[in-house]
Amino acid sequence: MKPEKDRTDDLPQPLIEALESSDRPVSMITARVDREVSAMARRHFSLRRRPARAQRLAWTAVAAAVVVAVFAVQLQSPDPEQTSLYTDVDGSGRIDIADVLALARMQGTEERSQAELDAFASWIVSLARAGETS
Amino acid sequence: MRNVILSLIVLCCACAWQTSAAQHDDRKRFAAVDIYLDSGEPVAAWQFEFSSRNGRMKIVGLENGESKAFGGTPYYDREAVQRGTADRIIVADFTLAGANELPSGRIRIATLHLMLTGADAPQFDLELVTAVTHEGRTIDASISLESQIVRKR
Repeated sequence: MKPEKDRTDDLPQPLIEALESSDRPVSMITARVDREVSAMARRHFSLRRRPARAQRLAWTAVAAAVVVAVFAVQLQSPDPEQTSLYTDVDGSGRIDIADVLALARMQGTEERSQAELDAFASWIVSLARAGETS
Repeated sequence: MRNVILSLIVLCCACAWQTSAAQHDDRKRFAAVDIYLDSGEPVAAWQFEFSSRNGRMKIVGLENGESKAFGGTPYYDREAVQRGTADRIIVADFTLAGANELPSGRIRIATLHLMLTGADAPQFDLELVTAVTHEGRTIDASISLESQIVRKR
């Protein structure tokens, strides 16, 4: 009995030939070949990884520089909300210590804390600010 | 030859004189300047600006005046003074003390401590920016100073 032969009888001859030609013994991959292929792969990927790492470092440096720059700008420029408080409160035409006194004497919702008054007075006597306005 | 020797002597004398002059210019002196406000009405807030007309001055310290109503140290640019870069200064103070506690007349409002360099006598500019009453009304006050050189080095 040849069941396999029987089954192949239905297949077209070119297909049978193609299948028979592909039915070859598998070439043996020795441990040495395996190691060499593995080493080649490692070399290949290590060469590719280097620029990626450098690029990551560069992007990290750029991000750090941006963060530092933002902090520096925020430290240097006074808070706009804060400086908007520093106005000509008494309507004298200029901003001086009398405005701090006027602000300190305001009652109700406009009442300010001592820290805010100190900040306003310090802003008035700041030489850098006086240099900008003069 | 005699001319060469004479030239060398003159050159040496010139160098010695130059060095002496430079040392003289770099000599540092310290001075205390009392600032007085003269007001006919009780003062609740004041502000003045002080600077040197001929330069060569740094403000190295400041102390408060004699009035109890203005108890603490006045407001001034502490950072500039601490850095040693204050060749002028704006000083101000206010108080919320009651009208009957406020000072009037001639009052010492601050004392400035200065470091002077150079041989020239110091010349100062002092300007009263404002002086107001308890209600915030501007006072027709005057400001003056008295300086005293306290140490030579």
